[in-house]
Amino acid sequence: MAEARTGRPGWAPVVYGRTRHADTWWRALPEGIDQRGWLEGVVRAAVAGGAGLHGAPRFVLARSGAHRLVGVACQAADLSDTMHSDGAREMYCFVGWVASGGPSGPPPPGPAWPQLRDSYRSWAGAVYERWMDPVWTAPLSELRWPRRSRPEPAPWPAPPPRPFSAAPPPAGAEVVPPPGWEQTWDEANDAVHPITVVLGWESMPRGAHPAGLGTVRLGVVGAPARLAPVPAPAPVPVPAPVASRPALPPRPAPPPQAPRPRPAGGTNRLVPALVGGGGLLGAVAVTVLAVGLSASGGDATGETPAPTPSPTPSATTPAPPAPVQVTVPRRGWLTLSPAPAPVADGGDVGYRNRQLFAAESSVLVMTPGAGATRERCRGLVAGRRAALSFRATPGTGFCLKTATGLAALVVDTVRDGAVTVRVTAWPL
Amino acid sequence: MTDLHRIGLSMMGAPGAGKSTYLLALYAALSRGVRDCTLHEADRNADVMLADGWRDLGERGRLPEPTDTVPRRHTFVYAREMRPMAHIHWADYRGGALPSFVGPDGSPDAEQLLWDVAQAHGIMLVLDGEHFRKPVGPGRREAVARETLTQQMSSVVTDALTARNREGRPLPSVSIVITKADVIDWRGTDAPRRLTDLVEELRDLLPAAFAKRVVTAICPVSVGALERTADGGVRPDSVSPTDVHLPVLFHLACFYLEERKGLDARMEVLAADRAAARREAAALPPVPGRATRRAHERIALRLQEMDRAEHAMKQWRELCQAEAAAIFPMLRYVPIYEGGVLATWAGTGRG
Repeated sequence: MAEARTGRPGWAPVVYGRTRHADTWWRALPEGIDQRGWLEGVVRAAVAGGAGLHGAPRFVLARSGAHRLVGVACQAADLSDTMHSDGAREMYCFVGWVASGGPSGPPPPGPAWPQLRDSYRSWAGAVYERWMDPVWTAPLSELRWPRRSRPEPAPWPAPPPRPFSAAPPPAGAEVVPPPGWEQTWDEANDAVHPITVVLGWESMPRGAHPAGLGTVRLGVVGAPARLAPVPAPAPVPVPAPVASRPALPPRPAPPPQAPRPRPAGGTNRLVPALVGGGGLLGAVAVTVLAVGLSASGGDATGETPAPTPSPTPSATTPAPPAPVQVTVPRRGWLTLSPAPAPVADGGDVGYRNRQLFAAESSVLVMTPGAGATRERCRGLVAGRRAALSFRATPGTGFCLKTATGLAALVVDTVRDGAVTVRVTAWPL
Repeated sequence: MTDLHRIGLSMMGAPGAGKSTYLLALYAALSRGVRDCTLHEADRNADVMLADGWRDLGERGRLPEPTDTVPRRHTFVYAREMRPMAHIHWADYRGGALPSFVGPDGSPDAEQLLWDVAQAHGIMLVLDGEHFRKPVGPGRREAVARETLTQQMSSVVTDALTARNREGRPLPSVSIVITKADVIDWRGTDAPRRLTDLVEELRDLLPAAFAKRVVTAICPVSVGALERTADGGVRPDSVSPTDVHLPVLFHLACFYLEERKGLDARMEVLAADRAAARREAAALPPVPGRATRRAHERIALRLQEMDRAEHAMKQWRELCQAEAAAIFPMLRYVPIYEGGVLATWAGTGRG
């Protein structure tokens, strides 16, 4: 169902960057939008503490319920020849625009990604100069709060009208290699559901993305395929205690102390948290761990792979099941029970927006090759979380575990309207 | 690994004071190991990032990215003689968090910083050594206080100390870390600076650090001159971290000392409880009966639990004692003050 495109016109600037003398960061915030919440989460996730921004700007397109954000995280020197350093260190910043929806309709779409990529220096540079210049050398006392921005005409040409996609994008996070960036950006521009797209990562970002960003798509230059393995945050091995030393009994519990009130929004000091300013990983890690695991034969994450059962001796070896080709229409489902077949609803794997996504009770894992065996699939899906989604590309292999069966899937053809997969199914 | 001590260190300093750079140098030094003491990030990726940051600094002279409103948090595993001893929780805040407002319109990281300081076992106050090239006399004091944010630091530290005194909790140890100490002329013939003079200047700038019962170390540190080469790099021999490990070792030693004191106090309470239980047993009527037998059994169980608790406490106390004893000699040239007076018990301050 398409949504009418009659949102409130105008884009209010957002500027996040520090000045020469004042270590405060929010320069411009749209009226009516709190610096804490969705906007802050998106900006922080894109900026990621400035990591990897030298020569590699990151482009953001995000949609919350009522707002759309377009912007770029980059080195300040990309945007200004004079306001980019505190005298010792180069600064980084985020400059963007927020459009708001209203009773008359949703927020308008942003520019096409190639337009923003090619023009961000002039578009964002003008905004940066305009908001930063009056305060660049101002004292801290004048910069404690951001200034409020109002909607103004967008610097980009109005995009041609396109229908909005009412279909929610598959939940979770996904890594997109450069060839898919433009399509991912367009899909986010069409989306009416919460989504956050950040393109331009040189390598996988670290950390967990903040809650409330909706579906997350990360454009990573180094992503070799639709999904890239992410090194799991494995603990550094520490030396084991010396054997000759007797093991200590459990440490006595500390004496009880009166609980202290915690600041609102604060984090527990003793809880290890993000390093490097909060990346966007979280759900991505969940998604790509499966790939990392499969690529390394099961030990990429440091977890113990599920034991592969040894073959049971038997007098007669049953013939291996023959693959079945199944075409699943857009918004349709593939079911394994009683036999692989397309169904309209209630299946094990769905197809939408060129994505395969697992039902809530199913586990879908991408395999490095297209010919996974039963034992291989069983090992890959063991212990994996349910309901993952992947971009469907021809030749890609998956393992699927449902409540009743196990299957290897190989994508044959992908069209907007349908996907054809070869399914080899086994009972659990 | 699951039963290591958890130590919180909190670092404050003005923007550009060198907090992030110090952290890189500290990690570079202690991840290699200093006298059997090592520090490793618990997260392998964070370990790589810290190493990358140090390499960028050492090879290209690129300073770490300024910290924005998202503090960079680390969990380090401290080990000595290849034995993991403690988790150190560390957050690197932007300098601007210190003078920021809190509350609904304020900065979330400013609130987190205050919370961290209120809970920390050790507080590191980072001051840029550039300000201490020359003596900080009355004529410069206000300007230096303004630029180093020592007024805000004093306020935050005072608040933390008074709150803990009120609640009867142990006070945090405090280190005053003077970064870029290589720019200070300590040995020159033309009016060299003396550490004792610097300490006196710090008393005026940060009186809270010399308050009653507060244990404070003065730690000049340096990552080296970082002299530039013609191609934009840094001369390898100009990268030379000096004494960067000492503040952390100081806080560790203080933590173990404080932990040992706490265990001593709890063992005293336990001894009193045991005596009370024995008196209770002795007071039971001599006539055997079911009720008396049950009372004896209950008391015997309590005594057994107390024995187990005491055994555990003794072992942990010995560990804390041993750790403090192992670390303090490494601090022999660090001036350590308790209540503003040179702490002779630490065997330090001779340098």
